[in-house]
Formats: sequence, C-alpha cells, structure tokens
Amino acid sequence: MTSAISRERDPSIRVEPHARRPHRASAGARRSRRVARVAPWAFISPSLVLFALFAFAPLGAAVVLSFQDVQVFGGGTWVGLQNYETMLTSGLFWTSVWNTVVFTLGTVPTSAALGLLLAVMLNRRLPGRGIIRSLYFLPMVVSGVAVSLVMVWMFNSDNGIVDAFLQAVGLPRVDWLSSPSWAMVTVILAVVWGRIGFRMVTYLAALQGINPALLEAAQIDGAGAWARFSRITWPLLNPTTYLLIVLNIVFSLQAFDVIYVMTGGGPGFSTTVLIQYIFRSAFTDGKMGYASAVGVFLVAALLALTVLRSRLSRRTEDLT
Amino acid sequence: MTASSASMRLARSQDRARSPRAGGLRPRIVRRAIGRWLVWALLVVGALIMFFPVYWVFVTAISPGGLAQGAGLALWPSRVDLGVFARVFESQPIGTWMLNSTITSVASVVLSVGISLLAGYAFAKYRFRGRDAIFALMLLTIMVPIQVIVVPEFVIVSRLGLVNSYWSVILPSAAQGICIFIARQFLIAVPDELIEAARVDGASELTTFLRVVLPMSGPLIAVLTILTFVWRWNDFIWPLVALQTPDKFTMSVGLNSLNGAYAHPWDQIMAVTLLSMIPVIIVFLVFQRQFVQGIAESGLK
Amino acid sequence: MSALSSPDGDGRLSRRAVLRYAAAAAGAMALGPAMAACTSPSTSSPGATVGPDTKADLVLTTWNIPADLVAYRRFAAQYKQKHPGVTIKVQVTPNGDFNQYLSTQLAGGNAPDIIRNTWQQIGRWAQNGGFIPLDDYLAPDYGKGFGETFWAAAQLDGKVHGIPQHTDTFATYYRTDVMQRVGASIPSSLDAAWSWDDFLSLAREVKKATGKAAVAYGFEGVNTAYRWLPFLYMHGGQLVKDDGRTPAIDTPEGVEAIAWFQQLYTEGLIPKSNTIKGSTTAAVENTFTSGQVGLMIFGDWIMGEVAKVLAQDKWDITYMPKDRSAASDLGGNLLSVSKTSKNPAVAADFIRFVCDQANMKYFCETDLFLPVRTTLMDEKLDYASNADQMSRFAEQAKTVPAAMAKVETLPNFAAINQVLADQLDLCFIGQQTPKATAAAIADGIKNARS
Repeated sequence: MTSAISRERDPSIRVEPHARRPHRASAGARRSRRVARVAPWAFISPSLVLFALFAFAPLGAAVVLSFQDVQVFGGGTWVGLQNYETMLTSGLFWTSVWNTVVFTLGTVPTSAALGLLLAVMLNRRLPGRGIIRSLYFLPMVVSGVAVSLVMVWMFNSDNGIVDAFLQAVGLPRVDWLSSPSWAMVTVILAVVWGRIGFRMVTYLAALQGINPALLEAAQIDGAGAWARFSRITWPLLNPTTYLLIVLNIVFSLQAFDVIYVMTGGGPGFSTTVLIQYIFRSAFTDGKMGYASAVGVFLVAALLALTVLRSRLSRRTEDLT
Repeated sequence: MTASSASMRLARSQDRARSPRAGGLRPRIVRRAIGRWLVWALLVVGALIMFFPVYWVFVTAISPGGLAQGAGLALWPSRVDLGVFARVFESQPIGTWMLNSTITSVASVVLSVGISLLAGYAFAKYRFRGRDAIFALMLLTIMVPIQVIVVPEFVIVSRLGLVNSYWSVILPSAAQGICIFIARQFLIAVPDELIEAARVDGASELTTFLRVVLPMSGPLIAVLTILTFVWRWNDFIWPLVALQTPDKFTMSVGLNSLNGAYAHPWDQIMAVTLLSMIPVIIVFLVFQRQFVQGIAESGLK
Repeated sequence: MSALSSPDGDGRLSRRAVLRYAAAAAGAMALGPAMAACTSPSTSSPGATVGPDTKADLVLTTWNIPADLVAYRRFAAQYKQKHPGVTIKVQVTPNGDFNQYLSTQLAGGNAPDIIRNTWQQIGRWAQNGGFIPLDDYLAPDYGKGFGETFWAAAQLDGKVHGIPQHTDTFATYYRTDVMQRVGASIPSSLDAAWSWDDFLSLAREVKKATGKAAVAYGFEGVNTAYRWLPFLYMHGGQLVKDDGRTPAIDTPEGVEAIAWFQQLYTEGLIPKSNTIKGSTTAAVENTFTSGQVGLMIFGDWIMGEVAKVLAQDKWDITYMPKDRSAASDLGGNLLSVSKTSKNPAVAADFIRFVCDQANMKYFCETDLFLPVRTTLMDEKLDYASNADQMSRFAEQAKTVPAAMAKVETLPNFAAINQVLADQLDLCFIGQQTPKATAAAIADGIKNARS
C-alpha cells in the first residue's frame, strides 16, 4: 500500500491538476487557488471525522493500554515496557507467531494462485460460464461464522461427510480437525474456500483488461500458450497480484472466526494464531494491557512488512 | 451471469489467430477440443465442491434435529423436515433481525461509499499538505484487528450516547480504509482534462465532482457496495457489543442468540444461516455486472 | 469476529471484560468521567417492600429458548395480577457471548434488571459488582429451602448474588442395542453405578461392538473444559484447595484422574473428534445418535435433541461412572439483579416469586430442568416428557461435589477454565504426560485472574 503512495510520487504517472493550471494573477484565479486549497479538506473531512473518532482514537488508546496493567474497574497502572517483555519471553506468543506465519503462507499464495488458475480457465467461452463463475463466487457472501459452523461439521473426523466420501472412494480417512498436524491444513482449506471467489473475479477482470492484440502478436511470432502467459499475461497482472497479496496478508492476520469456531485454537495450540492469542489474553485471561501490546506488535509487523516490500520493489525498479 | 464482452473479444481473436493455420492440423484441433472439455469438466467439479458447503447448510437445516450425517456417506437426509423454516419464523423475530440488518447495512454502505468517494477523489486529484500522511494513516487502520480496539471504541460510542441505536453500528463501520484506497485507485484514472474543462466552465469543485466524476464512478460504486454490504451484513463482534435489545439485533447477532449451552436447535441455526445468506446473494446478483467492470477499471486491476 | 460459537454461556469476548477495560480505556483517552458516571453503583433500598400499588417496569433477560420465554412471560403476567403496577418485559440474551453482552449493557447504564446466568459466570459478576447482593431483600433463613451446594455456590464472601432457579447435570446415555450386544448390565441405582474399571472394560467391549468408538463426552469447546472436573473429584482429587487460591491438582489423585481420562482417548474409546477445544454439541450428539458410540456422558438438556432423532426404545439414561465417590457436572442457572436496576427491590421480589416452590416446580416440569429446592429435589416431578430419565438425572444431581461447585463459582474461573482447556487438550491428544499436565494446570491457576 505504501508503494501505491510512492507510485503516485512518481512524476511520470500523472500531473496534478492545479499544477498545470496557468497562474494568472487575477482575482478569480486567486479565489480558485484558495478554493483548490480548501476543497480537498472539505472532501476528506467526513472521512477524517469518522476515522478520528472510530479508528485513530481507539488505536491510540490501545497503544496507551499496551504500556499498562489493566485492573478490574480500576483503570490501568503504568508498567512501561513490561507487557512487551512478557510477550517476548512467552512461549505461547512465539507459538502463535509461528502458527500465524504458517497460516498466512498457507492461505495467501494458495488463494491467489487458485484464483488466477480459475480466472485463466474461465476467461474463454464455456457452456454455463456464468453459473460456474457464480458458484465460485458464492462462498464470499457466506459469513465466516456460518462457514465455520458448517465446515466443522463437514470435516468432523468421526461423522463428517468429507471422511465419509474419502472412505467411499477407497481413500484413508483423515483426522481433519482432531490431529494437530492436520487441523492447520483444514482451517486453511476453509479460509481459502471463502477467498477464491474474489481473487478469481479480480483476476478475471484484470485478464479482460489485457489488450488481446498483444497476445495475438505473440502467437503469430510463434509463442506457445505458456510463453504467452509467462511473458505477457503474468507481468501485466503484477499490480493485481501485489494488491491481492497485501490485502490477503492483512485478512489472514485478522482471520478470527474460522479458527475460533472450527478449532478453538486447538488441538493443543496447533491453530492458535496471534489474533486468537490477543483475544484470549484480553477477554478470557483478563489481561487487556498485555493483549494490546500483542495487538500493537501485530500492526507494527504488518506495517513493517508493507514498507519493506515497497522498499524492495523500489530498489529493484531502480536497478532495472 | 455476464459473459463480459471483453473476454468474448479475446476469445474471438484467439479463434481468428488460430484459424489460418488450422487447415492441415486436424489432430491439434481435436486435442484442443478435448483440452477445452477437460478444462470445463475440471471447472464444473471445482464449482460443485465450492457449492457443497452451502448445500450442506441446507441439508442440515431440513434434517430432523439437524443431524444430517450418520456414519456412512449420505448426501440426502433419511427424513426431511421442511417445517423448520416455518418454526424459526414462528419462534424467532427473523423479520425484525432482517430489517435491522438491512437498515444498518444499507445505511453503512451508503455512508461509507459516499465518504470514500469524496476522500478518494481528494487523495487522487489534489495535492495538499499532509495528504500522504493522512492517506497512510487511513490505510494503517486496515491492519488493526477489531479485537484490539473494541473496548476503546465502545467507550467512544457510549460517550456519544449512541449505544443501542442504529448509529452505533452505522457510523464506526463507515470508516473503511480499504474503501478509500480502492476509490483513490479508481479515480486516479479519471482524465484530468475532463476535470479541468469543468473548472474552466466555472463549475465549483463540488459541482465538478458531482457532474463529472460521479457519473463515471458507476463500477467503483458497484465494487464498494458489494464489498461493504457483504462485510456489514456479516459483521458480528461490533454489532454484538453495540446493540443491546433484541428489537435492535441484526441477523448475525440473532443467529448467535440461538447458539448456546441451553439452546442449540442445530436445524434452526442452519435454517437461519441459510436465510441470512439470501439478501447478500441478491445484492451480488444485482451488482455483479458492474462489480466485475469496476474491478477491471479500478486500482484492483 | 465471533465469540459466537462458544457453546456455553461463558462467552469468550466477555462483556465483563469489555466493561472492565472500558474504564481503563476511558482513562487512557481522558474520558474517565463519562465511564465513572456509567458505572456508578446504584444504591439499594434495604428493607423496601413490594406492595400491590408498587409501580415498576423491569426487564428480564434469558437464553433464547422458546419454551423458557413462554414460561417467563407467564410468570410476568401472573406477577402483574398481584402487582398491577409492575410490568416485566422478557428479553433474549445472545447467550454465546453472555459476558460481553452484559458488561456492555452495564457500561451503557441500562442493563436488564434481572439476568439469568450460570454458576460458572456468577463469580466474576459478583466480584466486580455487576450483580448486587440480594441479602437485604431476603429473609435471613431464605436459603434454607435450597440444596446446600447450590445455595453456597450462589454466594460470594457470604453475600447472595443470585437465586438458584434450576440445575442440570451429566449422566450416561446408552444405546439399548449396543448394550444388549455386549451383554452389559445397566446400573439400576446410584450405588450400583459402574466403577472406573467396570466402565473402562465396558467401553472396550462397546468399541468392539460399534467398530468405531465407545463413549462420547459432553465437551462443547474451550469454554466447557471444566466438565472434566467431576472425574477429578470422583477420584478424591481437588482443583484448588479450600482457600480458593492454592492449586491442588498436582497430587497423585490429580495425575491419576488425568491419566485415566487420557486413556479413554489414547485407546480410541472417546471419538477422535471429541477433543475439548474442537467438540461441537451437534457432532458429539451425532456420534451417539448415529451409533458410532454406544455411550454418551452428557447433560439432561440435550435429551430433546436426541429424542428427535432416536426412537425412545433405542436409548436410555443411567448414572455417571463413579470411583471413590460419585460426582457429576454442575449445570443450571441463577437469577441475579444487575447493579443498574432502578428497582432492585421489585426485581428481587419477582425472582423470589419465580423461584418459589410452585413456580420452580412448574418451570422444571414444563421445560425439563432439575429443581434446586430440597423439597422438590426429593419429590418425583411430573415431567412433560422423559420423566424416568429426568428422575435419574435428578438423583445424579445430588452427587455434584460441593468443593467443585465452589471452585467453578470462583471469580477467576474463566481464566482457570482456559488453563484447563489448554493443558487437558494437550494431554488428551497425547502431546503431554498427565504428570506434566497436572503441574502445568497448577502453575496456570496461580496466574489466573478474574
């Protein structure tokens, strides 16, 4: 996302409207310059008010809380960096970090790759294409809670339909949710299921925006299907891929309901991710200050990741 | 469902590109046809898998006691009980929940689409002091999990006297960094010449926005509407905190009141789940054509 | 997002916690005065009496069980006949997130006057002041009519914070066909209940008979980890010493109780999916109704769901297995008065009305709950259905250990329960020894706060 801003700074992208306005010293122009100075503030003010009240202020409060030990009804006492120290020495915290990394790596590339694959397959005339596309999209409208309620039922290792099916076709049953090693796979499957649709539609739209002439020309030059994809289509999809991956990482780090409902963070701690850890620290263990510290860490980590990514990409651009 | 014209064009041009060489290469055409049908079959199987959980919600709802699955493989319950839908309407104020969800979702969508368009326009087409910093801050909020801020947020809402009013759900959820980001990406592509022309004609900044920018933003509005409607309709934690009395419950909060230690009519839970999906599906069907177009034209591309 | 699934009333994103931190957060944002205003305690009017001309509008909140809503509305109507000026509105609690719901309402200053809650919940609210003490509105000997364990559990520091309305407990469901096949004799009285050894060998036979597993256990996710505790107390163990603070599970009894239960998992007698954190009500019931297990240890409140699927001659109820003593789960509800109630005297009077002999009897018989008044506990109630089964649950309910009830009503029980869920889950899936588990639980209890 930061790269979106930096892209904007690139002068080759576009020229600011008022920059190209002729600077005449007439009263009218002065008025219009003044208007142009005020107008953007007027445009962003509704957002600014709502963000200040409902996003910036609570976030600021969370940062403050992260330096406190919060007691029942009594407000907090200042403890400096103690919450952060406790966090860094907590085994469960690092387990959650690790699980978060696994969960993110399991969900982000897969849903993007599957979305792309589907988009490529669907980007042609096919019987029933509209219906097929809608079926892939449908899961997106199902709430996370509803998804999880039904998935936990389907993937039950004793009476779930998935194992019943595997058995019917002669495959071994799998302990989807009851074995520590499979549980993570299962929640990843459930999340990917819900996400494919949007990735697919996004890639489909991007594909349809690619000028067919480019591909035609390449084909006439004798480029095969794979060459056309890897040399033309894929590079053109880069911005889409970047955006989807950034958004997906954010969504993955915040994915709460599916894990909460399907595994409760178990078996053992095998699916306890950071957001799960924050939740239980705050509301079950009663340590809001500590939970805020972990939350601040999560936001900071996300931010660092985004900044790092845009720095790296800028450097590669500079090199080429 | 839309067969978008762009893809048709693409497909046609591929056919055209192929045709001059096709003459002496029958086996290749056959192979292509087989490949095409193979792709189709794969897609259909995948689509069925994708659809299955939703189907399973339905099957669980109409199974007596909600216990669809025995030990074996059965895709249809041995006994069917369609009365469950009548029962949930009788025992639960589904109509009220639907209405509340509709009111809060629609209002929140209208508000967040409106303010995001305005802000997105400002970020896209103006240069002003602190612009990048404010924009970055708003994007930062995308990364903040609700669990981290739910308590301070509740304090603010109750301080404003909004608790248990529709506004308590509508206002906080209208501030969406992601919407502003998408709006900005889309509006960057609006030609500056058009905006300049309107200004030269003496239009005010707001008129320029309303007459020039807004009419071009149909697809953007569709994208934002679908995304935010889906999110708001399925929102759970925040409405649960902010809404107190059952006459204000939304679908997701109402659904939750069915799920607990002493009340778990599984069939009814699934029936309500199914009913709760319907409005979102309708919104998607209505806006999907513009949605795809909007994605293609906005920064998501 | 959701604390939705929490199958027990003991919700995760607890409103209590929200309220508690709300105060701190307010301080952090210099909004302190507002919250102070929201949370100022209401003053009770000791000794206030409710006469026929008393005027009040009260709100009662209960779980979303249609039959219960009908019953409470009926009580409200009857009460109005005696007190025409008093109107009581019955509302629904989004019960998966009870604590979160309640703390928000308290913070908003308009919580329902009367709140239906559980034993595992009441401690927190009694301690943090969300529920007011009711002693001023009750005759000194009022508690005499109630079962001792229940009345003791309704108190914190000697003050009554809720009046017990009903209880529920665990017993053993069995499938008649499976029991016949393995030739099991069904205990006909509490004294004859299966011993741990009997139960273990029976379970092994049942597993052979079903070809799958033997016994389903009534876990319904993280919040219900405490349902293992009866087995600790049966074996003479204790979770916490009588002081309510010192962990007492890291003893030979504690380790043995954990080891015995772990064995049920390692031998595949309890179905794999039936872990503490991963279990859902419907799935647990389903292993029983679909015949994958022949036994199920679960509460009376799911009988209706079982009966919907399984004909009455296919299943029945017997007692919990027992060891050094019998024990079972502490379920059931109390009615409490919130501190934001403007008419605590009337609220308390209505609760007394609902929990009197006749109304408790009516409520239990109609909606299938177990009574908590001693006279009713000894009586055979005229249940609307499954009367025989209910009578066995009623007998079993008397075995709920008082010491266990005391632990489960501790103000910090939510955190203790989380410790149990974490460590027992690790142990039951075979990733931790019983010895290490007992030690880890003891360690966790030391750090658990309310």
